[in-house]
Amino acid sequence: MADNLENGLQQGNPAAFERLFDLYADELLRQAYQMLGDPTDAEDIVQDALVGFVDALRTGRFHGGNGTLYGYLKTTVRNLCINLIRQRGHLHIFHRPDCNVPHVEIDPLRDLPSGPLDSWQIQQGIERAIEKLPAVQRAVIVMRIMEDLSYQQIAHELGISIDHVKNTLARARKQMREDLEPLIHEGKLP
Amino acid sequence: MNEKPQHPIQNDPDALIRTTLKTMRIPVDKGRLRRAFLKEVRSRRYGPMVRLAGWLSSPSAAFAGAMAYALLVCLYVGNAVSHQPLQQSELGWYSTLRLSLGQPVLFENGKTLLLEDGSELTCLDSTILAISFTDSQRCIALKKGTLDIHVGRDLQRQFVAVVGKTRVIATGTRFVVSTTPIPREEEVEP
Repeated sequence: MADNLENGLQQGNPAAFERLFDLYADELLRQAYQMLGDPTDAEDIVQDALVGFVDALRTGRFHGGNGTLYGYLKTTVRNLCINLIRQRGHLHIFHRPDCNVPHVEIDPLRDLPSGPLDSWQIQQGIERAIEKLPAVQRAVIVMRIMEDLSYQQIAHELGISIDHVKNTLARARKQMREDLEPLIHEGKLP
Repeated sequence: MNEKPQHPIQNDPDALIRTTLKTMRIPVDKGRLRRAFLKEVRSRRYGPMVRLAGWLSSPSAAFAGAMAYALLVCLYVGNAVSHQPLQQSELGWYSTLRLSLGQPVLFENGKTLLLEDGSELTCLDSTILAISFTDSQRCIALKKGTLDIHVGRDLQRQFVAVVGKTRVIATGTRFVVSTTPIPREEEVEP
């Protein structure tokens, strides 16, 4: 199937372009939005990733790679998101080597009551907590939780040390927990 | 088993964050993005140079390049080995010439080279020569230029200067060899 799609794209078949978009745009948009939290940025990145892929395929620069087409596009989107975060200078702002947050993985939702709040309310609370995170913390959370990348992989992707990744993740979880505090103790949304 | 039923999120601390990120509404106008994407990829034209550049970045081009490089290295090594007149162990090289093992040395007009046996070579022209001293003979091959040779005293080893196909065996102490004919002004005293 992917081969047919690739052939169609290579020949410039309009139906193949539509198929490419319809197959992958949803997931890629979600991924970019999860990482960046900005709809316009997500749109730009998905557009760049898909157009770049078509360019690479039609000029012979795309040579299959090791995994699936979806995997390839996902990696492209992740790299574009990281580039954007880096361009905006968000990567190193929150890293202070002298300030050591212990690498304990605080579960932000540990004491969350299961009774009075329904899951929709809890999700609303978490969504807001995620929105409040600085760009790099958000990206690290998404790479860790959604894409199941190891600390080492995340460090490699971002070009930072593993300790920095752990620090960032710990800080993100800590901040989410603080944001969710009212929800946990008073059953109120922040 | 009378334990309180655990909240599902307590088994996997990140589960609810994952669910939230997965179900988060993405405020993106997908229809507009689809139209923009299709317009962009349909309008793209790829000229021959772009395709060539694509091929140059392909694994087959990289393989061809690597093979060509390997071939060049083989040729170069073969060349260097076949032109190596003598092994280092057979030679009593003057220390400053050790870098030019078996290879011609280039030095400029007016420079004087002092050899280990006390011989002095003075360049009267831009000169290229190879020097090979063994236990049985001292040999200088002049490839180009003019050389004023002041032969050092060594009764055990004869001093031979090779110019083209001509071998000059030193009997006196001083003579001039050149690859260009030296204008003869008057008969030289024996």
